Amino acid sequence: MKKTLTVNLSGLVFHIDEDAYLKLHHYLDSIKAHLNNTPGRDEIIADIENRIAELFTEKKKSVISIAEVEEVITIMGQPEDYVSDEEEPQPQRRPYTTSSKKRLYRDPDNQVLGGVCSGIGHFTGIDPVWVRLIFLALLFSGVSAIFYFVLWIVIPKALSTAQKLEMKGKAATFSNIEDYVKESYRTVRDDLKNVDLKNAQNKAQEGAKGFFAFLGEIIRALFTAIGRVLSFIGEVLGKLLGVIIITVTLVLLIAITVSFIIGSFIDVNIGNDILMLPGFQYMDHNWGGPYHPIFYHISMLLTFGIPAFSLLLIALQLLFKNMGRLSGGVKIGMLAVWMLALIAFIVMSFTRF
Amino acid sequence: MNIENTKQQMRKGILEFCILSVLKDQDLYASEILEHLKQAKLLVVEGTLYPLLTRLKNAELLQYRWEESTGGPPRKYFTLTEEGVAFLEELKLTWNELQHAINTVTNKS
Repeated sequence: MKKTLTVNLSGLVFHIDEDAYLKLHHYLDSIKAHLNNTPGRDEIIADIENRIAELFTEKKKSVISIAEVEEVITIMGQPEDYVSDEEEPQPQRRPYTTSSKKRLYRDPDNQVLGGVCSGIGHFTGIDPVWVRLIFLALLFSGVSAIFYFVLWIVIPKALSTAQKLEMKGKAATFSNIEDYVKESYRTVRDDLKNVDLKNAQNKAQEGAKGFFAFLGEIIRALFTAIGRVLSFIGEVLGKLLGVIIITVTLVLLIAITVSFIIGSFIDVNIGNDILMLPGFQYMDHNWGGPYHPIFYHISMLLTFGIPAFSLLLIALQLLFKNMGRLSGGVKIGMLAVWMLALIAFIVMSFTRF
Repeated sequence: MNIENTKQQMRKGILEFCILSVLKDQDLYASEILEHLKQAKLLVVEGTLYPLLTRLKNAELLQYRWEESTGGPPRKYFTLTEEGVAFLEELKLTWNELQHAINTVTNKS
């Protein structure tokens, strides 16, 4: 079973398989890139689309599959074939780049569990196998299971083709970040340049009142520029904050799970007081509470774990704009569980000896 | 020297001449022009044709009109303009001269 898309080529409607669509889309894009400096590029592309539509019609198939697209490409030729020699000596031709921003999605086409690792792989440009290995390695600390679960909840699945293209878009490398910063700087600079000095001066000549108009123009432009800078700084700070919170909560989650495991399942009594972590004395013979100590440990895990979990969610939402959000019911449920755990924890803390 | 490259260069050079020649007696749309050129083994892939047609049109040697077709996309029928006819005559002369020149040169050796 395959998903199909509907496309319009020269006014005709075609059903096309998703993979075939991606291939065709890529093909047309690279032709566009090759014809970048050719006059009448759009017209040529329209002619090519027209011809492709004709070839598809001749096939008389209800759905265009990747085989048909490949056949069309063989007939039409590689993108390089479209460039006639006269236009070629233009060494400064810019390489074609997609301007679409890369987004973090889960990849449903390459998933073991939820497609989180392959999604991260697409986003960072690291082979998903390595991402999976890292998650597996961290599994022994217990954290990656929680972290994976969180990511599974908040990262949306790439369902539509556009989302898949976004997912595989430009990698978030350092040079891209540099580009982003440069671009932001440029907009600010252009804003400053665009201060309509001439216009303002003309106004100024109109009379004494004009002077204030001139001043106002400059101040207005200055404020726009400052606003841009501030929003840019705000965005950067937001991301930075997100990274810091994620790091902190990860450490916190590691600490909580590790101490839970040690406290609950390892006999710390061997090392006695030295190895004893506060509150965790499951196997400890000093335990004096009237109930099984595992309840105490679980209440503690939840008391600290739920806020850490929520912080992680918030941080991820700060970092990636397209993250999903928990529904209100889940939030209230989590809050209720947390409050119960907190009360239990406090009560048991006082009654344990 | 890449032989394929040289062959392609030769073909490309005369392609415009051939397109204009094919259109001399009849109006055709892209696929029909392709048909002629493919029969003559002048074209390997179709993609090369479209930028050429647009260039000839922009140079006002060709003009086109749209015609509806049954069951397919609308077709762009190309016609020679007066300038195109004159241009073709020029090219034909040059071609005959070239042909003569090449015959002379190759027969000598």
